[in-house]
Amino acid sequence: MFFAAMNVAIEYVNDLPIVIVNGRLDTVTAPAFDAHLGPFLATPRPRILLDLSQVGYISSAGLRSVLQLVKHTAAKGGRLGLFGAQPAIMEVIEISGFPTLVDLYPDREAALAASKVESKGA
Amino acid sequence: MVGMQLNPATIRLQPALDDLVRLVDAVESFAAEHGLRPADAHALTLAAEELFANTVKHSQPPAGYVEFTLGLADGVVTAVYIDDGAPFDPTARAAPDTTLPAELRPIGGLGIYFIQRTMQSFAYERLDGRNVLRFTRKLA
Repeated sequence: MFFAAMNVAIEYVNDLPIVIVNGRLDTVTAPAFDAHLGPFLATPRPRILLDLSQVGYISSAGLRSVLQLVKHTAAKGGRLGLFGAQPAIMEVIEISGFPTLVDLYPDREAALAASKVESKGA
Repeated sequence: MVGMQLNPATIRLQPALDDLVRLVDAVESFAAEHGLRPADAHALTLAAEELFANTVKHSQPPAGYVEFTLGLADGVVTAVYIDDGAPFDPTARAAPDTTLPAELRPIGGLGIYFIQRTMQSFAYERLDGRNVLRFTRKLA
C-alpha cells in the first residue's frame, strides 16, 4: 500500500552525504526517518544534501524531521541543501519559511555543483 | 452542518495513529474521484492529517471518535472535521514566526499554520460537546 511506504537511503558523492527519501514524510513515517538517521547524525556535518524528488507528500511532522537536518548542519556553521521538491511539496516548504534556512536546488546536478563550489570556497 | 446526513464522503475514525491511513485514503480517493490537481489534493490531505494528529496527540481526555466529511460544490471543497475531545480551538493559535534562524526554530507549531495558509476559510465551533472545524479550498 502506498501510504505506509517510506524508504530512506544515504549515498555519498566523494565525502558529501545525500539523504534520499522515497515515499511519504508524515506523522506515521517521520519517526522511522528519524530513527534511520540517528546513527548518521551522530557525526557532526556542516553539509548534507536532501533529495526530495521521490517524495509525494510532506506534513508538519515530515518538516520537523527536515528541520533536524537543518539544525544539524547549522550547528557546524553550514546549511542543508535540498533538491528536487515537487510543486506541492515546495508550497509547504515556502509556507514554513524554510527557504531562508536551506539552500534550494532544482535537481541533484545543481545541488552537487553548488556544493562543490562551496566546499572549495570554505 | 453537524447534523448533516452521513454520505459516502464521511468517514468515522478512531483517534489513533493507525487510523491515519484510512483518513488519508479517504481524502486521496475523493481527490481522484473529482480529478483534483496534486496541489489541491496535497493541501487537503495535509489539513486532514494535521487536525487528526492534533486530536490523537493532544486531546486530554482523549477523544472517543473523529468524523471527517468532504464535499465539492461550485469549485470549492468544503471539509468538516469533528472530534468529541476536550474543547480546543486551533484557529485561535498565533501564527509561528517563520523568519527565525535555524537554531531558534521551534520544532512544532506549523501544522495549523499550513491550514490557515492553504485554505480560504478555517473556522471553529464548539457544538454539542464536540469540536467542529470547517475549512474550504477553492480549486484552481
